[in-house]
Amino acid sequence: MPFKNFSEENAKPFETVAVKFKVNDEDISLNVPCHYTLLDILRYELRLTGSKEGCGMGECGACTVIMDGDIVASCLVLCTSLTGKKVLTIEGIKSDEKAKPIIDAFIKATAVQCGFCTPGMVVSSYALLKKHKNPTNEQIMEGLSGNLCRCTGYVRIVDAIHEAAKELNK
Amino acid sequence: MLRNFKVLTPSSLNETLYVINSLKEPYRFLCGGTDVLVRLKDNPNYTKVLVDISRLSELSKIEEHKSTYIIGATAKHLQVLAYEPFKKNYAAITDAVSVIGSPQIRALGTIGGNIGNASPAGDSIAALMAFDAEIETRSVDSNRKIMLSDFFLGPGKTVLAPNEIITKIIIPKFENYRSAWMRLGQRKGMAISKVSAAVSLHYEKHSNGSLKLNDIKIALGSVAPRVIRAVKTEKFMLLKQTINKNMINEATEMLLAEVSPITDVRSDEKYRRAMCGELFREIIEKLVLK
Repeated sequence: MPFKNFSEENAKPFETVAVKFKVNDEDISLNVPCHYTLLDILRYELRLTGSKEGCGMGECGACTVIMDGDIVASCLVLCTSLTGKKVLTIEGIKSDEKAKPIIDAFIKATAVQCGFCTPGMVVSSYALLKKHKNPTNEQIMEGLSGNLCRCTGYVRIVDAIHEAAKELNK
Repeated sequence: MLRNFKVLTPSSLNETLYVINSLKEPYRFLCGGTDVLVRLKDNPNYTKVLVDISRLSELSKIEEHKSTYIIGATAKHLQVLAYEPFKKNYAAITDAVSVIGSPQIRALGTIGGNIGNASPAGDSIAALMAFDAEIETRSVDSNRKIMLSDFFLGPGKTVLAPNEIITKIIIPKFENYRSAWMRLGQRKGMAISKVSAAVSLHYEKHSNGSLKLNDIKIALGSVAPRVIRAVKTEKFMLLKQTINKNMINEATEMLLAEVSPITDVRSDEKYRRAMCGELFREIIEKLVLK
């Protein structure tokens, strides 16, 4: 979310910090303004624009990435907390063969309409299916409870995950 | 975009204590960021200085000791959820932490942050309070232990001095206690509780079938300026001892006299009061009668 009450007065020169971490198995070493979040770094510095900024407040899940094995809201991770972390984004997941059935299932089940929530949904689904090979409806709802979709009504997304689980267990 | 603040990144607890002791201006701790960054994005004047304590690994562990469990202040909600001894004997804590925010928030947010935030609706707080949890704080020249029930002064306000930091949450061990935490929210995910309640208790069943209450702790969220213990109701129930429908009814009446809910965007006073009683009744019945 852009800053409320933004004014020239607030636009003073900022301090920069050095961050060293991993994105999609690549070492990243950057100097960034200290107010940059992980999402800002991904989008503005690394041009990995798959992760979206929806609410900017950790509620919508469009910015979901995997950090040290767990899904997190990348809009709420300040750059100073990143040192030593391992981040996996939708771009990194895409090249994993285990993600292909998920992406295919999303398309097949028409679990995508406007598409803004989709990268986050796929990241959360990927993490969910790593944890539960055969997720129940309840586990799916719980796993996606941090991802909002305003188009689909979720039914087809849940269908897609069931379908992907079947495919992955073959 | 956030800007116009500086971030200090101490690398050890001692360094942190030194930093916050020498800071002249107001500051905020940053660890999970799930509250601080949201507020900072909303209000550029929220703070000019952040002290990032996310790399203090010495505060991030959960440990078992002889008579206590110790949760480091920067332990994530997810760590608490995965901790086996809590799953078995501290159900109220796992119940509460399992619904905080969303999976994405629980992997970032910390228990110390949930407490330091001092929200009257803080989900983990009531559950911890129902186990007589204590807070350990440190500063360059002090090391205090404070009962969690004495830690809060009001919404967002605690007894923490400007040069102090929460380091640990200490939970005594309880043998054969049963506990539960319940809440009412607008929906399951990403909801702030309208009312919440946590109860831990110990009882025994007599040969004639009657139930004798040996100990009970009741903590309530979102029905007062801070999370509270219903001390009068606890005393009353321990005095009555025998648990039955009648006693639960009387205790519920008493409980309602101890709360002072307000009307706000999430709910109104009347509804909160009524639901607080119902949550309490439901928890007791779940723990004892079923």
